[in-house]
Amino acid sequence: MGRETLFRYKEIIPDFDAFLQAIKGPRNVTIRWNPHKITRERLLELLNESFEVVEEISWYESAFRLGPNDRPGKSLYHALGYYYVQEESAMVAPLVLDPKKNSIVLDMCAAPGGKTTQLSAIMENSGTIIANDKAIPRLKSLVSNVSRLGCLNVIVTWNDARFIEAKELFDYILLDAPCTAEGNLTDIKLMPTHMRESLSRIQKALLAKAYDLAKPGATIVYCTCTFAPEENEQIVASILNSKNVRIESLHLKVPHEPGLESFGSQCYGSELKKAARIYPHHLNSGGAFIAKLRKGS
Amino acid sequence: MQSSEREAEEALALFGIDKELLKKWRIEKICSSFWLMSKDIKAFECFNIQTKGLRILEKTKLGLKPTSYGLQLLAPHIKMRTIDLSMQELLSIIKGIGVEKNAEDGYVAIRHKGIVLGCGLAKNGKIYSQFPKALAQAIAELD
Repeated sequence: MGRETLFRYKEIIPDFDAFLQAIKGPRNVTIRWNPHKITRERLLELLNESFEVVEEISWYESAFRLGPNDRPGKSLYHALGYYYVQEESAMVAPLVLDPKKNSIVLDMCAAPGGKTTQLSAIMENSGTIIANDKAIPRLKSLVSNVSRLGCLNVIVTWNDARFIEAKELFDYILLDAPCTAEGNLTDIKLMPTHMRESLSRIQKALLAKAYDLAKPGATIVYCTCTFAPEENEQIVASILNSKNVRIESLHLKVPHEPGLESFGSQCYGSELKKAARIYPHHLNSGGAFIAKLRKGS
Repeated sequence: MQSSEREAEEALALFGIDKELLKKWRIEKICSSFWLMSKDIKAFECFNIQTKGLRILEKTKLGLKPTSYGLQLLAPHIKMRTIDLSMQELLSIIKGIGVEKNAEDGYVAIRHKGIVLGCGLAKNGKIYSQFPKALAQAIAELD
């Protein structure tokens, strides 16, 4: 049997033609300012000297859009940690989590560290971020990025987060779950169904663990970079139905669609509309699913 | 204050970094390195910790060597032991070729166009690179 394609989502993605075009076309090149190393004004000066196109992004003052042929990852200023090359869609989840200064944060699947370093910037290098990952090669890139960006509030840890034996430690938890990464596809073919099913089981276990590790009243943000409802709404619905947790509305400044109430024969409930789906054509960036949960007191 | 913390402060004071400034953070000695971290950072034993904060100093045969990332972060506060290099000189040192400069032996902060890039070593009137690979590679690609 042939592999499924993105047409699986034709019924749930409004403006499907624009979506397909964005999948196949080039994505915006975007960077995020690192306040630990340089002021925004000085970075803007250096960017204007180095790149032909430098556009400020209206919804997030730390982000800049460069020209399609620019390679910011090759610049000296990148090596100096003045910025992080990051897709716009990936910058949204840490803003939704919005940890306060001096709080205790867990980034459960942190490598390569884009969201970790953004959280560190939001917290102004205060408090604690446990940046965890389970794969050693990915940990190397995480450590390298955290060092390059001068993050002083990050502890890098090596665990399979599903099996951490602890309870109620964190004020904020970001679970950027391993997923089929359909949001980064440049082709219409999807991963085999068995991979989606296997990842779905892992995501469910990770989110249950996030619940255990969160303090009462803590915020948990669950996100992926895939479109599959089995890895998104289904996972969130499962925890809403089994634990003392509620989903909160998002007030995003970026274009997006609400989460799905159902897909095929599966019903997830009307509360799931509070989640957000960012499709590639929204920001000419990758795809993302984001849900904000609050653990009951 | 622990003696190890004082040792780190003294090594950084060679670069003109004020000891008072360092009180904003915590310095911990882990094996043969010193790590700079947020004052209220909290480690949990149930996690398998790999790194904590930023490595700023490493013990070498020549004494405590500041890391390039540490110098970059503390750049606005560095007032001493700085060496300015042209792009051509930078390209030489990352190829392993010493560049002649009048500097006292020991570790130095290498600057280019006023920007602190990282750590160098002054030895017998020449400067050598102590940059991490990624930084050296980024500079080489500017050629």
